[in-house]
Amino acid sequence: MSEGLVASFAVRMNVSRGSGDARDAIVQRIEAGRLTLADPTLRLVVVDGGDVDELF
Amino acid sequence: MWRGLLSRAALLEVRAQHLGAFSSLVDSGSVVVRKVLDGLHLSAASGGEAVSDAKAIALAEHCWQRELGRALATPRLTNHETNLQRLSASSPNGASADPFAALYQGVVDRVVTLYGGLWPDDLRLDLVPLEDHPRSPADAYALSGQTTSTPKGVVVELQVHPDGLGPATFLVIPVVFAHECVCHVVPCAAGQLVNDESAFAEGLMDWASLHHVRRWLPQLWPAMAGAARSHAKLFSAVAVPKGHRSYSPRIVGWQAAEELVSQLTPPGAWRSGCPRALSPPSPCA
Repeated sequence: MSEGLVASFAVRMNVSRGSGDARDAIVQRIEAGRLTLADPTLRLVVVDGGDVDELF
Repeated sequence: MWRGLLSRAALLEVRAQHLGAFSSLVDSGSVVVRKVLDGLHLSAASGGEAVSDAKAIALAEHCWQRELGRALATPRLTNHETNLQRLSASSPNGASADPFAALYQGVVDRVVTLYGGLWPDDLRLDLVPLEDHPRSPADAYALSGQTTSTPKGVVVELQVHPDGLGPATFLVIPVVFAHECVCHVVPCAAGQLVNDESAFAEGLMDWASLHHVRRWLPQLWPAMAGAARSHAKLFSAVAVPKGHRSYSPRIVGWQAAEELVSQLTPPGAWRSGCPRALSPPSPCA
């Protein structure tokens, strides 16, 4: 179940607006434990169709 | 070249349920296994002058049956080698006219459901024979993939070293298609360049493609699903783009995905595939 949600999140992020560099930076922050799914900005730009560059 | 590749794939496809056992023997050093593989090589080449693809496959099948009979005629087969006798009992029922296209279409049909209207209409498959194994040192999987944007649309390339198209390579063909289609097709259609160094595209998205293809395999190809699911993770770990042996965008992306899974998993909960009643008390508890 959790794996399916993360896979859906990845697909959403793949079609989100913004640069590849911003996506990589998001991944690196998540991997380092500095960005979580609970972060409202992440939800806004990735899940709700914003621009990933707006995170930075 | 095409007939040889097609025939190899066809010979393996009709033996899909035995490819897991076959693949586990390939590196055993067994003389019998070597003869079986040499027979596959010889048989795949036998239909080059045939009048049609179907005739070429039929000739290859006839030839490999003969070669299998010779290779397995040894009276002292080991217990493991006796598993190879199942390769002789194949049935052409359910064989595809083109196994590559069948595997590709099966994956595409599923990926379309993820992307809906964003999926490009002008996508096509291109089979590219390679002169050598795509990675060094060579692993068990003599194939790779690539997605490119051309004036005529997006192209998914399946790059295969023909001599290396054995059981392990065949089993991960859907994994390559899933990676290219889940990770790269839609961004490529939108004009984005594929970046092999991207922890997102080659890592997090690869993790997502693996999740999906492992879910789809039992539905699409039940005969080989178990073995293909096992090989999927092994392949994805070794098939890192060239030049990234020290820093792995794949590992970073995978770890980010696992971090997200951890965030979504309540403390004390069990991960999927780890049923409460059957699992040991630790470390899942």
